[in-house]
Amino acid sequence: MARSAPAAALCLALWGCGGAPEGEPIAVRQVFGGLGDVPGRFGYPRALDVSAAAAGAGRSSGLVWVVDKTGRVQGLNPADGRCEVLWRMPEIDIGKPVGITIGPGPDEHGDWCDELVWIPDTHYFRVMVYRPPASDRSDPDHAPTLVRSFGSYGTGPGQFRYTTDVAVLYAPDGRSIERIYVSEYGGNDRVSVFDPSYQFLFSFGRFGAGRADTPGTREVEFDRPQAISIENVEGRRELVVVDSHNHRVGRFTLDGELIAWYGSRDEPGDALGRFRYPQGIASMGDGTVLIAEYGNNRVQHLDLATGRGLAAWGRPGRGPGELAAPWAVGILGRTAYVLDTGNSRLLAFNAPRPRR
Amino acid sequence: MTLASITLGPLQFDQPVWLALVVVCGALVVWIGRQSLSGMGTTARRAALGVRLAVILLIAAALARPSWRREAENVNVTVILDKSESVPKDLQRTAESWLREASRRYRAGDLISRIAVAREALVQNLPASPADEADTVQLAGTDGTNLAEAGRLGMATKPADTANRLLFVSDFNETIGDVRSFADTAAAAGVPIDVVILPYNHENEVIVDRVVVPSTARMGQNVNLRVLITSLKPTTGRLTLLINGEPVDLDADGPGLSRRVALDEGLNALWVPISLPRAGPQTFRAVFEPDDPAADSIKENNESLAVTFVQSEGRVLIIAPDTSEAEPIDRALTESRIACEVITPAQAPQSLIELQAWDAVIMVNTPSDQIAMRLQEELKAYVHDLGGGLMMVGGPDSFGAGGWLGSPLADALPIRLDPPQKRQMPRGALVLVMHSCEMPQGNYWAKQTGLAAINNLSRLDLIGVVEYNFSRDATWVHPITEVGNRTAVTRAMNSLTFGDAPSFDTMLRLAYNGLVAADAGAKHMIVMSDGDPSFTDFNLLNQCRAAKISISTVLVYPHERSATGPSGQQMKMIADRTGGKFYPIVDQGQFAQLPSIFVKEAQIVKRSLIWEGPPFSPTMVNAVAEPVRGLGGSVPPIQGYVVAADRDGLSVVTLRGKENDPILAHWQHGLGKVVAFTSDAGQRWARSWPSWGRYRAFWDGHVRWMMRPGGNADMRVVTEDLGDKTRVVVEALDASGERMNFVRFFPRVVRPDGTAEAVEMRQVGPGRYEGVFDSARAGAYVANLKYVAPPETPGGQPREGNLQVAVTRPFADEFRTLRDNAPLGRLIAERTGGRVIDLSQSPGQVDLWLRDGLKMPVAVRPIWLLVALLAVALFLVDVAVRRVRIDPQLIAAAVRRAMGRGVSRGSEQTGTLLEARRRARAGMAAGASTAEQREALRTAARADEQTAKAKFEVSASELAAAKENLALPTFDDAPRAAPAQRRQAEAAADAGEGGLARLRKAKERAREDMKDGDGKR
Repeated sequence: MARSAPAAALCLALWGCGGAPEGEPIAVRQVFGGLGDVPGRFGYPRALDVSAAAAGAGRSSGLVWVVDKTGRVQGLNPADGRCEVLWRMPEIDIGKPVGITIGPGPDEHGDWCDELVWIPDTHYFRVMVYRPPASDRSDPDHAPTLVRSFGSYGTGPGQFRYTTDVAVLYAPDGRSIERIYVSEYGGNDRVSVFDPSYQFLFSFGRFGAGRADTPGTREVEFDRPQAISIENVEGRRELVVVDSHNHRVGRFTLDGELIAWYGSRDEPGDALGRFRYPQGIASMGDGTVLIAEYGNNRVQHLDLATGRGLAAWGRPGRGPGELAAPWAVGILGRTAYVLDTGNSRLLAFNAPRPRR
Repeated sequence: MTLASITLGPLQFDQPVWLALVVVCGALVVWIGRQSLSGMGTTARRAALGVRLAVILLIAAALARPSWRREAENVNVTVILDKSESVPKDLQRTAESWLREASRRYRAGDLISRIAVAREALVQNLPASPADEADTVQLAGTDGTNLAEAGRLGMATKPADTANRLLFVSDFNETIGDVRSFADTAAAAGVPIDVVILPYNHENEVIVDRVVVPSTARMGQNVNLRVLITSLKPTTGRLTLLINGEPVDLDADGPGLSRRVALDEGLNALWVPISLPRAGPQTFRAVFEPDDPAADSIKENNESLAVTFVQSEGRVLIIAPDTSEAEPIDRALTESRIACEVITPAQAPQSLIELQAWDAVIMVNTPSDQIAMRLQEELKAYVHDLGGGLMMVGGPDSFGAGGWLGSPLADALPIRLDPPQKRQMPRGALVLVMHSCEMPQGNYWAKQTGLAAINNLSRLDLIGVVEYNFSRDATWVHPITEVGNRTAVTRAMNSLTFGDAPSFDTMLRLAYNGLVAADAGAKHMIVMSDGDPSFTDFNLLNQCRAAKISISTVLVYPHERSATGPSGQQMKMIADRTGGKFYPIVDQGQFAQLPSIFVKEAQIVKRSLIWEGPPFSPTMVNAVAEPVRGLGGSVPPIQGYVVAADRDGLSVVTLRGKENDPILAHWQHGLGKVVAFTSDAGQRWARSWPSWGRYRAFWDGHVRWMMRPGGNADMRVVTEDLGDKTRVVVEALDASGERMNFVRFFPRVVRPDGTAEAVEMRQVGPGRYEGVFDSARAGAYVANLKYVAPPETPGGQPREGNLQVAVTRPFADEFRTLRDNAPLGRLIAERTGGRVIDLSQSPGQVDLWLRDGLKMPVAVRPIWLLVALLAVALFLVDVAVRRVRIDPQLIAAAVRRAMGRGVSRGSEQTGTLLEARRRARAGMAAGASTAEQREALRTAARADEQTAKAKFEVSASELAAAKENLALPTFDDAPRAAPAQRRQAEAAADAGEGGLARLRKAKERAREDMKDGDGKR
């Protein structure tokens, strides 16, 4: 202890001088993927979500879903990283999806099913909704069912430029959908809200550096809202928007009124509670979230009620536990998964203990 | 002295002769041991002998170079799959799925590696478990088959610790290499080659075999062109003929251009009379299209090529973006009876063969971005390899100011385009902001374009490179520094990581800060991106404008595939607001424009290379040089020129300007000659020149000097097709028809891809010369043979000239094959002891990893050091056996003690000692083998006892006195102050109790020990 005191003092002194504190590498439990175009490997993966066990889809364990820059959607077994579900997006010539959201919902016949996959098909200005295949990957009929696709190019109501993420608001019983939120960028940076039948309700936000926001209203500016999520903060359901290029994370009411911003365009940073290009969000379910920071090469544990950064893991690099431009993060059970995009791999580590 | 190695189980001895030591030394040891070990017990003696023999055995074994052998159990199969065009596609797919099935029958530990082969061989995967999925590879050229190279690659990548088989899956129609000789190599290495022959037989096929034309002709001559077509069955179709890409009307009566022809089975010859109105090489292309597509299986072999050189007087091509600038030159040359043609860069010849029609090329004030990179390469080959002449005439868009710095032609010019180091000139600063480009080979293009811009800067200019790095955000890959010799910045460009920048803001801000601080005149930024990063720092654009920093943006392959999408609008706005230019590259077809865009952009900082000022007459410094002879030693004044530097004496400078800058220079470059004139043709800087009396002489002298010398009718060139190679044969006759010997040739062959190759020509007979060059690829090959013959009369001028010949290979030999070449497959299987596997066999029944006939490799590890160490250890044991008595019972007792059984520690020790003494005595008695010996020992022991008594025994009174004198306290003594007690103690001592009694006992033990010792001795 006595020996570590001067080291701690030195760290504090460096911190005070403005030197970037280099984080610790993540204590990684497992590493999946690696560069390649065979099943189970990725080429610059950019989107991640997790799904719990889906009895309806015939799976006893959950899956970690990854979309990469080859336009492939893969569902990986969280135990060994084996690819169990795989399909390629129908069109990938002009760009690949940068988001994925998994959750229950009505299938193509309107029947409730355990697992739907919403993919914001970024460069085709739309959102694709799939029911993943239940069959084994070796089955020649292994292919998803397209439940529906919505959106078209434009800046009008219900139209999109580049879609980034989808958040689904469920009824308290979890057996029906109340609303669907879709975020987008490309000069038309906003969040559009749809009813369960995908009818446009309203949208909020516009492109900007976020210097003219009015709390309590929908007058907000976004610069690439890359990820959105429904979170329970202090007993109330809210929409959390990760406004990547403005280096901040925002809380909104379900009707899009601004509650609070954490971080700002003018003060990006690597201290706890500050961000540099936050890109991904994962819900802890206790009013805290994990944020994947592209620019800080780390995962930050954020308390949504106070905006306090509780902890951060990771540092830039290509070695064990180091990250290169991470895009997304997810939590399945007690395990957190961070998409180490620049290294084309997926790192699994112990998620922090949820608060009571 | 060596013997072949011998193997004993897992042991191998490389020099087994040393093992003979065991017999010799073993016998010696036994014989000596009978004498020296006779004093030991039988068991001990045997043990000692055994140990010593073992030591000898180990030493001999160590000397015999022992190794430990481990034999492999697994087999690796290297599958070589023919992906060439000759194999029908569906047959390839069948073979692949057959292989997939067959490769499921492996044993644990077996390996498979895969090699795909066509013109070249590529490793698809290195030896790995057959359960792993294979990578897919893309072969560059599928118009050839090189099975031998694939085999060699297979041999090079096979693992050493398994047995190996090669499996060729092919039609065995090889076009390159010799797989038979490779099979011999494999057989020598003990690797059997299994073959799967892919069977096919095209029954309907038409091949345009050849187009036959004379290799040379005169302008205006009529020649008969012959097209040879082979058809397997009678068929009908249409024949089309193109000269230099333009169709010839073969159907004079009908509306179409092609002629209907009916082909018989076998070889058909079709005659086409052609008139040759143009000079230079003429390329003929004949194409046959059958009426019934089913009548023809392979489309690629339906056309053929031929080239004829049409000779004329010397001709000069003048290229000028503004043709009026070239007008004075055109006029001067026409007056000198030199035929010339003035064209714009857009009309420039597209191939080397077309360029061959001209004897010299003049480029007037032409910027490099208007001449395609490929044409620049071809112009260089035209001069260097084919002996053509080149002249670059100046203007504000020429030389260094025209982007020619770093271009392929820069090396060919007789001046260096960089300004001289000593000159003080305003310099430019350029920053490249590079962002990842999501296009095919995006990073390759980004580097190429960046390097093109950098090569275009002069050494004094400043260059910086900014990119986004995931761990540092916007960062200087190369901070703004002088270009210098370009090594550092080129290295930096090659180390770009092309991070995916989320925002332009930080990158542009970093570049701006760098440029503001740079000491330069013109400051410019080029941003290359797919337009994906966001931009919000609009104030930066105003700051750039204020600091006179222009930003040009190159939008590459945006996601919306449109220049007007959000990305395009954003990048255009950045360029517009800073006075830069916006270049959208939205589809792959436009990628090739990228380098020229960057070159053009780099010019923005390059305007400083132009000198303009009051008129002055350049100084003629070398008036006797051939091109300027007859100009009278002086030239009219000029008002400007492009600054360049000398070639340090390698070229001849004839005119010099301010600060000794070269203005007119010439040199020989390879086979050709090049002239550089850095002022202009008379429109801007040399206005008084066209009216100068010697203007015509100026151009006439230079053009005639650099023009390629004409051909010689007395030389006859023919070519012979040798498969993948072509032989050139020259018959050299002089004017009187005599054969010319000792002619020196400087032949260069330009390949279809524009690269050139030197050919060695050797004299093989009187007046006959031969050379061979590689012509495996499809396309036209142009050979230019410059020659120097000895003078006709002694002391006369050597005779020089040029010969040209073209060879065409319209389609690769791959497309000539009509059926599989099964005999070759069987032959190589037979030569190597492999199997011929039929594709119709069920894959489940074929064992690709068959062990039969395979020699399993053995891993051999030398173990002499280990054996030697063992010998040393055993030698110590040997010594111990002879010198130390090992008592099994004693050891057993020690073991018992260690196990913690029985008595307490103290009594155990005593007990052990007593036991040891008893055993020693018994042993001594046993050791004295005869009764006499035992008696002698006893007598000796008694004698010793007497001696010991005499030495140590004292009476009790003597001892007490001594004790009194020394006043030694005993442990149980009371303090001296109590005489009564002391007396009591003395009394006790007298009674034989206490210390004295113990002393006596010790003495007795010592006696006993001495007896034991005697016994041992």
